[in-house]
Amino acid sequence: MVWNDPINLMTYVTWVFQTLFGYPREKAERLMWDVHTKGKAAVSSGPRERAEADVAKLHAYGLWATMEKS
Amino acid sequence: MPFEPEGSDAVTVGLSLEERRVIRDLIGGFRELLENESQATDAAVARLFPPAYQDDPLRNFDFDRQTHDPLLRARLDAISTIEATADAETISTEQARLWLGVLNDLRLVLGTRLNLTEETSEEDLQEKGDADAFALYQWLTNLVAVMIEALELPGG
Repeated sequence: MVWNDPINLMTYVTWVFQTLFGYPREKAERLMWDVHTKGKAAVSSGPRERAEADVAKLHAYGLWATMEKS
Repeated sequence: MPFEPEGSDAVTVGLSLEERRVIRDLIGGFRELLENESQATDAAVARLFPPAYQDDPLRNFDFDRQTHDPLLRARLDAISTIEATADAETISTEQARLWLGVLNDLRLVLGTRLNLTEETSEEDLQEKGDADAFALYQWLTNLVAVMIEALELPGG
């Protein structure tokens, strides 16, 4: 789960989703808009270990990401 | 332009000597911050190492134990890359990605220090005497925005 924050640029968040997850621009932008307008978005899901690894990668890029049970 | 793509695997750096000096000063301070402070002692460091489990301190402790050191190491390595290429006229795309990450980290640190929210206005910051820091923040914002364009991925 990635949360909205007042500092990261929208283009930066989109770029991170593309770079990190290999999402096409359209999907990355849609997720970025969800984060921006709804306050948060689920950007990746899976078993705990993989999700934790994704959260750590998002932290490395300066995004505010947390784990959430689905 | 401060950054422009050069072919498919390099970025031209068009920063002035003065701008390069400012970047070197900022990353020197950033390295010191990371080496001397922790999430517990500094809000800006806490912003860079956020909790993965907001309501589960135990799980979060485990997560932090596993991820903190590699994450810190990656940030320090990225800082070293910028230090080594601060005077370069051309950097590789890989180095440019590290530049972007550090420049964005610097915005996060400065923005956290300034207590920026969606509602913060320039007048608020002037009243608090933060106008200079905010100008620096905006300069970094522009560098980040331009670097993203220089690194723009295909498929858009």
